[in-house]
Amino acid sequence: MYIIFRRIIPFFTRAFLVGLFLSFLMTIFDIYYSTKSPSLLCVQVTNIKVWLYDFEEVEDKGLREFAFVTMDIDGDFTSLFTFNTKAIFVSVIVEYETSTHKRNQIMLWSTTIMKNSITRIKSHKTLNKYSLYDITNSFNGVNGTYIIEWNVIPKVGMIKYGRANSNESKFVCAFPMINNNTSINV
Amino acid sequence: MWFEWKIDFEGQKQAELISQVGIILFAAIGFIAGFLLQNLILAFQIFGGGIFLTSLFVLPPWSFYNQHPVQWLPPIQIEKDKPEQEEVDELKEKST
Repeated sequence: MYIIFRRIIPFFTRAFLVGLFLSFLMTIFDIYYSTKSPSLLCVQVTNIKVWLYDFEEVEDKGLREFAFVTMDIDGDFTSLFTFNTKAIFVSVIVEYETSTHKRNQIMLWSTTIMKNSITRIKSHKTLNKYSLYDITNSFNGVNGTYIIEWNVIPKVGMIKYGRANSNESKFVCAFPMINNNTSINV
Repeated sequence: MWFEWKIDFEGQKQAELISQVGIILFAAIGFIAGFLLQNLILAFQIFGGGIFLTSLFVLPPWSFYNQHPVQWLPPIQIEKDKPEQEEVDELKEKST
């Protein structure tokens, strides 16, 4: 004789497992469909200034170079939004190589696009949101590449990562040395 | 007890079959509807509603689950002096 407590648990366990399988199917179909990239990506740096500041959080570090970058950002992410997308996190990073450290990446600017909002980003002459300084105390005038990256946050599944690949959507320019502390107009 | 909601074994077989069919059917319907209409939440809403309907159909003890009640055997009448007599006889056999 089967009483209610012995019947209710297997029923809901089976339902839960089938629900997990349903969400797995949704993720698989979404991955199969969304191998797209944004249709327009462009970042351009109009102005870089480098100043020497005292890094107040640590006592014995002394003065270090802080860079202020003004840029124009343009991107169209409409084709990346499927039924499984909740938000897209867009960021602009700068990559450069110095003599002591082979690969440096610093995030300059970021924003989040939610699903039911405008999916086109267009920023004109924005300053970098986050501080730009090197792990040693100066940049030494190396060349920096400015790249747009994005992370797609789904409703069900894993976070996907993408970055600009073609050379037209990246931007290369050098950090100015501290001796000639004038702004460069690109 | 009235709150135990008992069903018999034949009814349990039927209930399990109906529950398996119902769960998988509503998952398939939810997936197809959500994929065609490009709406993820709709798929899970259809699935949840289907689970609720199936549980209404399977969990309470409807009368068609109790059609084959278990046939218990009639109780055996045990007389009190017989086992003692048998034990005494066994002890005598072992001693001789």
